[in-house]
Amino acid sequence: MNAPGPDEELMLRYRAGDAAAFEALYGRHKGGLFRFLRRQCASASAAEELFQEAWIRVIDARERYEVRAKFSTWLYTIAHNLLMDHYRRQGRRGVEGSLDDDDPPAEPIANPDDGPERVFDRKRQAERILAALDAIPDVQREAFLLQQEGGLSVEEIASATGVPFETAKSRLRYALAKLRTCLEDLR
Amino acid sequence: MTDPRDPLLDEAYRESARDEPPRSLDARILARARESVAPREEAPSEMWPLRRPQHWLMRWRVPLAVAATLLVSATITLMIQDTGVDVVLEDAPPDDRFPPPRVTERRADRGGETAGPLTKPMPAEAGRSAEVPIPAAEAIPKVPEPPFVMMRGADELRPPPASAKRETAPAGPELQAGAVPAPSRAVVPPGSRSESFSAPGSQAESTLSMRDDAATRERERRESAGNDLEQSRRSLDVASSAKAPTPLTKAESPEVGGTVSALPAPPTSAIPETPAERATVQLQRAPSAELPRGSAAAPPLAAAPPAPAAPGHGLATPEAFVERIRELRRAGRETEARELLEELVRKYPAFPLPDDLRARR
Repeated sequence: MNAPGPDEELMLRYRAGDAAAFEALYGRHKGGLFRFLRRQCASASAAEELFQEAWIRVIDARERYEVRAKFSTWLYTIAHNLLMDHYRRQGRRGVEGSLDDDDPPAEPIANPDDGPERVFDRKRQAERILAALDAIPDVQREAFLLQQEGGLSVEEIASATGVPFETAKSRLRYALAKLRTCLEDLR
Repeated sequence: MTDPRDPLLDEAYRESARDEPPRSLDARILARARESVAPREEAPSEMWPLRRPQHWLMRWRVPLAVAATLLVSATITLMIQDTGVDVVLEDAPPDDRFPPPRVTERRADRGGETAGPLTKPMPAEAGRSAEVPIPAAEAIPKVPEPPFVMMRGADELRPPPASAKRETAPAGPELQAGAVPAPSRAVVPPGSRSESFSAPGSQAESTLSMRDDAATRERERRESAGNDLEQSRRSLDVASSAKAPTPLTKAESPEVGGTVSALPAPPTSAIPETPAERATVQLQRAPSAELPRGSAAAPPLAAAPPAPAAPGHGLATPEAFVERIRELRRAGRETEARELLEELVRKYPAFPLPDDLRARR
């Protein structure tokens, strides 16, 4: 199996009919995209549905794909649009409130070398971070998640969300500031 | 320009965010990705149902069946249009139950229409009838009309012009040499069966209309004998008018089947005037009336001495005798008129004589 190249190259290979290229591409971005959607959807089933729909759109656009931007930017742009449609269907602008009580936040993967105390601290830290994310506005949260999960720059975040660069930068800056405040005790 | 970042926050978030999509979801997405790049013939899809390859005969059976049906129908239609009923008439064996004369008779019975020969079957029928004589009373049997006769077109049953028929009427029927002797005048000549009704004049029509009557048949037989005498007399008249009596050969003699129609029609004044001529006729009439026509035992006419024709020769009916007697008397030829009257009485004893003739007798 050839070593996976850049995302755009993998997508071009997949366009040429290489299914393995798509598997490599999918392995790279499946966790970040899923968490991006999961952090902004009220339910896991909705996040999974949006996640599947995003990848189906990538698959269907295989023959028309052209390298005009980073693959991650294109992928998260698709996810952003799906999320906006989802919000419209739900009658709300975003996940402003906390997560549903029946849908607890995902458990962080425990490190086998960690002791029980360390595992407990990680779990507690994750709950606090997720709670801090839920507390900030959705646009700020989205900007933060695009930076953390998608690895997008401010310019790419602006392109994916369809806002000016400065707007995206300010959203990201506000998000970081609020999260620092919420997680001050972790420092 | 550097993006706003907090490394401590980034590390804290990455440690807390490790959740992944379910494996089942991964499998569905990857399967869909592989399906999209797989060749279509190897990827059965609901949108592309498979088609079983069919044999060419199975694919073309309906068009072939329709084409074959149309071809057979067109062929049969063309055959019917081209041949019609003639196929049945010409290919069918000759059936004696439907003799051709009946067609002529039927049309003659219709009145206004004159009988004419059929276009196709008539020559063969005429040739056959020339070899087999048909008695007068049996020549027209009462047989139901065959349906195929009426299936012919009306144009083919159209009779020939009346003038064409009358051309042969005065000369009498044509008799081929070597023909079988006929017992009566009803022998069908080879030319056309309608000629048997056309000569001599209206007498044939009257006899046909009363052919079921036995008395009429007897009378017809007598008239035929008179015709024979008339024919003999005509031949003698021609010979005497030329003042050079040429001996007739057996083939030329009407008594043995010679062609009578080739001879010129006798004039009405051909009745023998002199006793010598009448004697010749009487001498000739005696054997010809007793012997059948065309008989091989008939003596050659060349050996017979010229004899005067009988006064009543050529008069077929007693009315004709009466008219002839009156003409002779008006002409002052009392002797001949008396002889003719005696012949009338002798030939038709039951005929009631008119008062003028009875008084002078």
